[in-house]
This record gives sequence, structure tokens and C-alpha cells, in this order.
Amino acid sequence: MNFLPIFKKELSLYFSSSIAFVIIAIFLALSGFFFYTDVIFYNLRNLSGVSLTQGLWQYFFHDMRYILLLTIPLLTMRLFAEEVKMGTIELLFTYPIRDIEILMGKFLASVLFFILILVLTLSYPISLTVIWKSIEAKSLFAGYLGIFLLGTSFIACGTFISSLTENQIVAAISTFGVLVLFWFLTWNEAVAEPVFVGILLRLSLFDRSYNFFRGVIDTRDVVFFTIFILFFLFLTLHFLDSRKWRSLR
Amino acid sequence: MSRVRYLLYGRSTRSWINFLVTILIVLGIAISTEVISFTYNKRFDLTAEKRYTISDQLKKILNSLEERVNVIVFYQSGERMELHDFLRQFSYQSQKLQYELFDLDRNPAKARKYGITNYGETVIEYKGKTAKISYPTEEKIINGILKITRIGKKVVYFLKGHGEISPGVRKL
Repeated sequence: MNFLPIFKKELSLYFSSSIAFVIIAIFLALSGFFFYTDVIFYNLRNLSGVSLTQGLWQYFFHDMRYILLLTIPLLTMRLFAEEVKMGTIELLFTYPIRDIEILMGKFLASVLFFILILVLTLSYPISLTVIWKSIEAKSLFAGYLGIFLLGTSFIACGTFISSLTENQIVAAISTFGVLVLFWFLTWNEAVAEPVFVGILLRLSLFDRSYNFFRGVIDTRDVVFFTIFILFFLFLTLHFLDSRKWRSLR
Repeated sequence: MSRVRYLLYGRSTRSWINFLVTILIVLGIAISTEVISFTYNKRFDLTAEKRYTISDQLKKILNSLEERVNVIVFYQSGERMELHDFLRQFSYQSQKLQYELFDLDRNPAKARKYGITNYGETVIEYKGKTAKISYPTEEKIINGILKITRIGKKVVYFLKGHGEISPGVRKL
């Protein structure tokens, strides 16, 4: 696929402005702070012999979700909205590349940027190898897989919403709205009917990522996130495609 | 009139219908894939102590049951998430176990029906029979299920002939 030019352009856009560095800096500062407090907390409770996964990684990943929610909509808001606003989107569509290549270029650039941040956060657990012999790398891997899938789902959703509007602020705030809704779908589950709760639980990004954080990989959760990502990418593509006839009237 | 016809049969209308139908079809495929993935799943417990894998004993007991066993927990508000997480791993791994969670303070009528008075008390229901346990741990759930499913009456043995008090005699 010929998505590389777009991919490179998007990546260079992140880094040519200060956005990338600000996002990386904020992300690392926050996750560093969370990690520090989680380690302190773990040390306080360590007396009862809690495993690292249960006592530390779990909380670390739970905290990391908040930072994802905060940063990812800002990462994706300009993907399409800016092009529409500047009018460069028309130019983009006249290039001899297909819609799917444009989408993949933009989407994968954000995903790669996100992976880069995740790789940087790996330094926290690695630094602990100095103190502890085993950092329970297997369940740490499961947790990172969960965070990766969660973040990529956020990116897919944000990409779609960015394609709907020409205003970046609108794109960002709408993405926040949708993600928070998906997140807290089961927030007040005590008041809903049990059957209804069952369905909501399966839709909630929040609940579906728990297993990973605790060190369990269930194919059901992997499939759920994959479907979520693919569905939003499909919606984006479908919406971009509709542009050809929507202007007919 | 031509305006109405245009709205009903026009290219734009047809395109919108196509647009929505395609989304619905893809949504249908997505949902069915999700449903299928629920039946055919694999679980990898990567924790060092295999914390989230239910014991062979409980698995064997659950598999031997003919019907579903229902675990009803009356929790203290605030404990819901923890209990929910704990019980979900069981219901994930066996179709034979389902559970319900009730806030004891918010469901007094239900609690009275089962004779529950303390936080955390749990009713295990199977084929109309119930057993009560003090808190839903794996061990207690196993004991509860065994208690209900045991066929026949309990046999109590007494030792005698060494000067013990016989069961019928009350002596203070």
C-alpha cells in the first residue's frame, strides 16, 4: 500500500511543531508521577506479600488510562479537521492515492507516535530491575498489550470524529465525550437491570481492559478491541467516501 | 410533486440509504464476531502465581453439575467492583456458574427472603436448594456447592463404650 508519504508527512508534522514534545513531556511527567506514587504505595503494602502484578502493575496501568484519555484526543483532533479547515483535503484527494491509504497513513502515524510514548514509559519498570530480581515481565507484557489496544481504540475513535468536523476543538471535545461515555458506561451499574448490565459490560472499554492489567490475556478482549478499532476505521473510510455524493444535492 | 419524487427516489436519497445500510451491515458483522468470540475463547493467565485461573477442583465440580448454580452476594456498598471482578473470573471460565450482586442496604426485602443479615453473606442456589456462606471465597463456594449437591442425608457417628455421654442423654 502506498500510504508511506502520508505517514511520513503526519509524523514530521507532529515533530516539526512543538505538539509532539509537549504531549510526550506531559505524558511522561504524569505517568512518572503515578508510577512513583504506585511504587510507594506498593512498598507500604508489601508486608502482606502482594505480587508485583497485583500490587503495582495493575494500579500503574489503571492510572495510565487517565493520561491516555487526556492526551489521545489531542493527538488525533487535527488528523482530518485541520486538512478540511485549511482546504488541503481537496488537494489530498486529488493525489493518486486511495482513501484507505490516506486513512492508514494518518492512523498509523498516530499509532506509531503512541507506541513511541509507551516505549519511553518502559523505562519505569526497567529501572525497577535494579531493586527487584523479577519484575514479572509476563504480566507486565499483558498490561502493556492492554494499554496499547485501549490507546489504539481511542486513536481510531478520535480519527473518525476528526473526519466529521473542520474544527479541531470540536473534534477533541467530541472525542472526549464519546470515550468517556464508553468508559463509564457501567459506572452506575447497580441501578440497571442485570441483563442490560451484561450488555453494557461487554461494551465498556473500561471493563474490557481490566483483564490485561491483571495479567490475563483473554482472546475475547483482544477481539473486542480489534473490532472496535476496525469499526471506527471503517466508519471514517465510509464517511470520507460519502463526500463524493453528499455534495450532489 | 417532482420534489417529493426526488426526495424519495433521487440519487441523494438512494445514496443515503446505501450509506446507512452499509453501516448497519458492518455493525451486524462486528456484533456477530463479538458474540462468536465469546464462545470460542482462549485465556492466558500470565501472572506468576496463576491467580486468575480457577482451581481444577472447582472446575470439576462445576462441570459435573446438571444445571447452573447461582451465587447471590449481598455486599456492603463499595465492595461491588472487587466482588464483581472476583466472581467474573469464575463465570468466564465456566458457563455453569452465574452470580448476582445486591447491595444489602438497598435490597432489604431480598435479603430477608434469604435470611441474610450480615454484609458479604452469600447464598448459593442450585435446583431450588440454597446454602448460605459467610463470604464468597473460592473455598467457601466449593463447600457451599458440595453441601447442596450432596445426595442423601448426613451420617453422624458416635463413639460409645468408653464411658462417653450417649447422644440422647442431657447431663449438665
